[in-house]
Amino acid sequence: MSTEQTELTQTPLLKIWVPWAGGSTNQRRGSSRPQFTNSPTMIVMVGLPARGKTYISKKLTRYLNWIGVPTQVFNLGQYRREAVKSYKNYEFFRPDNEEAMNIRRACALNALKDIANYFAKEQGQVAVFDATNTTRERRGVIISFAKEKGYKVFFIESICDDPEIIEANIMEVKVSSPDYENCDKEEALEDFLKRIECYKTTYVSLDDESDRHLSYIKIFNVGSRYLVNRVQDHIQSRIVYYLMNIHVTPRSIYLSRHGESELNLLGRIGGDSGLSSQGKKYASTLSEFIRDQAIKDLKVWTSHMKRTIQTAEALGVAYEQWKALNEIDAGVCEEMTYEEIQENYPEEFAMRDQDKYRYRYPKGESYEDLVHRLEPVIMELERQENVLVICHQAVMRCLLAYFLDKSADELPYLKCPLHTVLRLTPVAYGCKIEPFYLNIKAVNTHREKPVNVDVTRMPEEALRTVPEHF
Amino acid sequence: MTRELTQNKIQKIWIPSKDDKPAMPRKSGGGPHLANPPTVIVMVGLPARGKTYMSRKLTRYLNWVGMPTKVFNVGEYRREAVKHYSSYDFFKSDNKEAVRIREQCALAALRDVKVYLTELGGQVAVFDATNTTRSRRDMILDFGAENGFKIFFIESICEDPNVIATNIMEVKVSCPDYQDCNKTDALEDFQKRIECYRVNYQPLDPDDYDKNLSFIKVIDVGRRFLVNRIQDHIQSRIVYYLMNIHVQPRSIYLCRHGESQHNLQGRLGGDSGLSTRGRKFANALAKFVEEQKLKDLKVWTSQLRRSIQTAEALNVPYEQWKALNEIDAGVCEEMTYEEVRERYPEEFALRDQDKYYYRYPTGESYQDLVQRVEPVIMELERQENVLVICHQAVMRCLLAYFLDKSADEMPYLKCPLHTVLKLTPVAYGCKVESISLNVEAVNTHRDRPEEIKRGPGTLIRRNSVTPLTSHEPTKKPRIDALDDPTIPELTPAPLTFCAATNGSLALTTQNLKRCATESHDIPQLCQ
Repeated sequence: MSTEQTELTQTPLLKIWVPWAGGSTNQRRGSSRPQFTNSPTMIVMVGLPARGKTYISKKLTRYLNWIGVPTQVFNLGQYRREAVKSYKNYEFFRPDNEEAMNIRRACALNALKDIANYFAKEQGQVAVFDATNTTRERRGVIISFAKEKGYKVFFIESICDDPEIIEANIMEVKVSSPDYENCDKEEALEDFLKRIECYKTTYVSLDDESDRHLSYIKIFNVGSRYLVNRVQDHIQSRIVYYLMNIHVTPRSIYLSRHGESELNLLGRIGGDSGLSSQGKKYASTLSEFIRDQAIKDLKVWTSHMKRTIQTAEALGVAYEQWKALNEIDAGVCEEMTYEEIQENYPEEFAMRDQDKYRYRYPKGESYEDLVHRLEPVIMELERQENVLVICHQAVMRCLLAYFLDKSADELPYLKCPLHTVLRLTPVAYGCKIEPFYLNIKAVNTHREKPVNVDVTRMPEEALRTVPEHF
Repeated sequence: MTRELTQNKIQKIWIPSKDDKPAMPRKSGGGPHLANPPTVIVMVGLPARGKTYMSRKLTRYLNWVGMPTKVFNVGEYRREAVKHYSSYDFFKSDNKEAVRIREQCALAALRDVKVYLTELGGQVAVFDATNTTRSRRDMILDFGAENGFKIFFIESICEDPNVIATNIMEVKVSCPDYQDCNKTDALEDFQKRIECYRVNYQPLDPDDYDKNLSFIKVIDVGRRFLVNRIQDHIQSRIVYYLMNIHVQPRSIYLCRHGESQHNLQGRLGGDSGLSTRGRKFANALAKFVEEQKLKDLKVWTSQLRRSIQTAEALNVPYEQWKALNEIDAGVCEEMTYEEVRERYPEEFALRDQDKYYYRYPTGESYQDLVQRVEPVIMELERQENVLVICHQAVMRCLLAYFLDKSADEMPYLKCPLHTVLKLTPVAYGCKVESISLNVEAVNTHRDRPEEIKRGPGTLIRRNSVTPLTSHEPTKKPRIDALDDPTIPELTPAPLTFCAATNGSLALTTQNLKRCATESHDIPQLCQ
């Protein structure tokens, strides 16, 4: 029972209440970061070549980093390409090629060393070990390594026996890999198929009986079936949920902001104003654009704010409103111009420039809060096919950062101008992005980071990058 | 060309205005259409495999997130049709008369499913029965196809004799079937009952016969799952939920922060610190937690000062969740109720009219809160012993989830300051213990105003279990006549809403009697 009353102070940037211990670094009991797991986790991919392991590794890593879990992929193929400068042919992968086997084993051990370093020195939380890992022996090595270090292990096995899917994978990502830069497509395909055969002879799938104590998910035929065994903690549960929601059906996601609003014209942030006349023009132009795209079964999503809904109304199709898509809450700064913020809250304004991602408006939100809020939207976007999302500047930056794998530092400065539609189409391991400026003039709402972010700066320095407004 | 928008007054949702008519509150919440067309969840498994447990828990969760769901338990239909259960012989596959009755019960339940989904606004129906044969499941699949319902199977497989025996002792020996038996006899009879089913049990076959069906197999109480062909969002959410729940014994402690400065002044919201009495409560809470001698207690707070100050007194690590912050009162933040009534009289009245859906201008509603707090519930399901130090509206949301309270009741649940609610899962529900830590505090509870009449927009009271207590308006006799030689077709029985026939009265008393003997799973805490 504590007799001294611990006073609390609110950290100026994050607006988190922490015990005030007269300046000394107190061991903080209250963590403001959600505790997804208490030890580092190794995600170990398992499966024959061309089963989507790298696709899953990269996508999962992108998702985990976006939600704030530092994650990195360790792709064994890259280690092998470092060790063996030029690839000749599939014979390298024959199980009786002892010299190659030694090289490959050494590569695996190097990768594991790097993983240990990532956890110990780089504050990593999740490492994705992207390799075939098709033998019990190899998996045994990994499990011992993890046990020794105190890491959790979660296996993701991808099983697919549909020859069409395999061939499509090979054509999409394998024939263009560095291994085959001097081959034509047919040769590459043939060699790669022989490579797969080399693995098949020694492939032992995760077994229901002998591997029953391991934590894993088996994905069958690109997600038509899953087998999940012994999920240990929150992060593994989230990973399983994510994997069960993603798909590879071709589709496009269209991101756009609402049309220019009355408050945009005045350079004011937030609020719930309606469209300006230019904004209304944009809405009808957007409607034409969408019609011309001739998209099959397009879903349209908006926020709960008038300006996005007005924009959607012009499309003349059904749309769904998500509160989660509302613009970032600027708290006490709602409906202010940047000039007014500088006048009334110069320190807040400076702190925002210092760390725009984590900075939380007083009584408002931060970009970090936004990401958390948007996670269910991302999850549903993964489930869906063709979707048009009509949202807001900060929200669109968060969504874009997810699709384009942008870091927390880049996210708040991504360019998302008014009256521009971004079309995102998944391709190979990432996302193709095409901007469509619909040629309706609008104010610029993008504020670059000023050179001087110190609280002692002069107002002119703070306001130098504020875009023009009425 | 563009329709004008108006903001509906209660939910503050922008919608196209239809010739001056104010818009009706949207029940499905500001989120996506989660399930369209309706879904029938079909439980599969031998007796005592946790089907009813999962049915009820899942239904409670779906209702709480805003998806009207109801359980249709064929066993209860059987108990209505066959007033007195004699022994496991009833379940022998060669007992022709019983087989016929059981089939009629299943059909009657499906009839009610259809009515619920097509006429009563239901979105999800949980068909809780063994459904262990292919022929039964094929019949259900045909029913689904005929009516345009999606079908999702949940099969529970468990061969651990300890788990089975525990289940039987916890929920079977005390069930109405065995009210005149002692425990050992009941256990023995029930085990023979299971054997009757096992003879004809055809598990779902993902490799061949059932490979195109959508289902999840829950194996060994959640150690393992096999998930096949998830079709849509709601099935994906259901799978996620099932994979996060567990049956480890544990307790969840809910309390509010200690009394705050704003509480003393009768002010809403804000981010004030604790009053003197609030600090006293924090210390009393620390002592209380120590006395509970819990294994590995997790402590969660919101990011508001008053809840963190309370946690600090406990001297243990705690986690701050922004999602646990109090409901945002928008323009009314930090006002007293009197000030709200003065400055925003219309808003004040609207809130009393429909407190669940009412959203403060630039603020939130209870409905928004539920969506915000859902990840907390999901994580609470994963965890074991947890103490959540939160706020009045938030605590009402959480409590409504655990105690299966409707949206209508939620905003009026009593969550006084300086009182800890200890929730312990038991049987099919939750035991609640209210522990006042004996530190004085102001009362912040506002009762539902009496003069507010519940208009036509009243929410249908959702029930998690059927049949239920007497004031259920849609009660009707389910079995038309037992000596009818032909098996009734799947056409809806004539609807007898609130028709006081002798039949329904008899059923009513039957239900009341049953409630008295069945283990109380939902104690009435807040009247």
